[in-house]
Amino acid sequence: MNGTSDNILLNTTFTLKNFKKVLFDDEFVELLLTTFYYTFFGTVGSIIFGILTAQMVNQKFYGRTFMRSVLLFPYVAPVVALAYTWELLLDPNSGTLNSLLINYQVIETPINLLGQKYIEINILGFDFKLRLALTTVIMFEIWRYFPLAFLFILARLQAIPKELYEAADVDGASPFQKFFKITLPQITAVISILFMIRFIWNFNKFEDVFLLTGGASGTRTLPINVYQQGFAISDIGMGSAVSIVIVVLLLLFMFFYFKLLGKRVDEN
Amino acid sequence: MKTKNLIFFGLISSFFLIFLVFIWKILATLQGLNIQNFNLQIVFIFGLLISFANLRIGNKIKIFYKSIIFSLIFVICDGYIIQKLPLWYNVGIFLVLYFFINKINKYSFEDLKQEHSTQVIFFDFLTLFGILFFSFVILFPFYMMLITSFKTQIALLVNPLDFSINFTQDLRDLFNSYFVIFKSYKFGKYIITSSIVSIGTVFITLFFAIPAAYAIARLNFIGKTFLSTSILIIYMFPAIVLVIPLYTIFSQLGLRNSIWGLLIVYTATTLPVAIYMLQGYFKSIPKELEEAAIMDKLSWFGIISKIIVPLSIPAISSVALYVFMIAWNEFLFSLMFLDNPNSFTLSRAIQYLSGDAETPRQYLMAGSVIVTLPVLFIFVYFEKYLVSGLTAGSVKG
Repeated sequence: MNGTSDNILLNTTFTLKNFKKVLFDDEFVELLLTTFYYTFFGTVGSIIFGILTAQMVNQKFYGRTFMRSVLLFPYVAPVVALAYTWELLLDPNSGTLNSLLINYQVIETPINLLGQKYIEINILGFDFKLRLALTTVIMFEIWRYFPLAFLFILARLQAIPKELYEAADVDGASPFQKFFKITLPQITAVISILFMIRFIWNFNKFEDVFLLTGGASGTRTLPINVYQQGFAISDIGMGSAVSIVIVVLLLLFMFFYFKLLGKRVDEN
Repeated sequence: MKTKNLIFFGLISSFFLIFLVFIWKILATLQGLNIQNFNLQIVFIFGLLISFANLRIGNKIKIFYKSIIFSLIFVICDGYIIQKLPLWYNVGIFLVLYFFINKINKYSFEDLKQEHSTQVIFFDFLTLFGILFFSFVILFPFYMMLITSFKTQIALLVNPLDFSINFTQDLRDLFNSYFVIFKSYKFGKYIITSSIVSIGTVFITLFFAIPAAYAIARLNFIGKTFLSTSILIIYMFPAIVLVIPLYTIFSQLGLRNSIWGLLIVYTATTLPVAIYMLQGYFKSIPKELEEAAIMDKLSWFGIISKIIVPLSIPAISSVALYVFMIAWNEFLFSLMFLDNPNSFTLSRAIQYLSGDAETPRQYLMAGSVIVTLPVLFIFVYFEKYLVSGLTAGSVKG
């Protein structure tokens, strides 16, 4: 039996049904929030750690060049190897971290750091519900990507003229004052660039979350959704619709970011 | 004022000592020692006593003898009387104490009287703390990866805290996981596929990137600014968005599950970085050299191959190393495009291995070690070239 059919990529029937399904889905807000948490805290965390480590390596100590290469290890090593190592480290049954905590009697039962959606925390009498798996994934994200922030900030720190610090010493400035009055203003430009680059890349990060949790227990971000719609459910149309949503959101972000940045530059 | 500084110094140095002992005790626990608690109160009291005594004694006794005396007192009290731990543990704690006393020895009463001394001390100890903390947090997963690959399934389940390796056993048993993944899981084949794809990507990328970067750096043509900005935009463009269209097109063209498909995608993703990094370097080469070449009636091809390439070997090799590392580490496209085990790359093979819940974890870790080692080796060996390149072009990730 023979038959012919149109090539689906070449015919001209289009529909907006997929977008309607993506945007008016009950879980869409949840999906957006998760993606936003993941992106924002991952970005901010990696920049904070980047500042700390850059400030640290900018000092003179024995083994400084060695320390600089060690700090870059998480960034250059393959994500597959790192994700599975972390998974073993955090495994609830015989993972190293849980075994250590039980051995030192910090906890009694193992915590499933990658498989538990919420954990109840009591701080000062207030009960909080922390997104546990999401927090762990963000931790991995920070651990893996702070080296990029570290390198950029270190390069900037080494370019700050020494005279500024010498003048501050003459005026009797304390180390804290030197940091907040000299160092921080000098690195704001590089931090804002880093924030944008990392925000965009974290927003699209797929591998890290996919390998650690597969998008389960409250870690489903938009890129994970692209994969699940397009490949796990095999609905290429839906997957593409989610991709387009990602692109539109990114363009919006870049638009506002440059507007804000342009304003700041004008003010100065 | 002075007492306040004194108390602050005592507190912060004892916290630092606590941290040092804490890390050593964790490492000792992981060697199979049964340490149930840290005895941090005792360490804290010792820390206070030692730092005050050190201030009081000052330079009256030589630093070498002073450190040995203090360390021995600590070791005898903590290691033998209170916890009764083996010799190697106490040697370690002795070295930890020796290090600690050498660090606090640079502070004297005069230093504490100075303005901002608390802040200076705070920053000094924060730096020390940071160095140790970050080394531990970063190196520990790598250490765990390596050790786990040498263990057996039973040993891992019986005592997950025992990280010691039995070197007395046969070499064949020690490297058993590696033998297994090469024999039954065909890792040799995956290594070859990964190498072909990565090295192939390097050559194809350089083949296109060198002329393109030269054109952007030197030539004037219509749409030049448009081209150079679009390179940056493509560089920022998310891979996850491209995956679905590429998947459908590759399926129709029959490029899925083939090395050619991967080579096309990897070249496309690494080309913008390569062009961006190379054009910056080409711009720094003096124009006069090329002008002389034009006088000699050399073609563009001659200029590139006889002048530009030989002059920019360092930049080209650092770009080549980068492209290699990106292609070697790549996971997303290999996950989407490869579903036949015969054409797997290393990353995809490890992910496939983990998909089977029965796979023992030491095999997974042995695979991880194999995929990590070449990259770390390249990175450490060529670190000088790579770090300057990282800030100049920065790797996508």
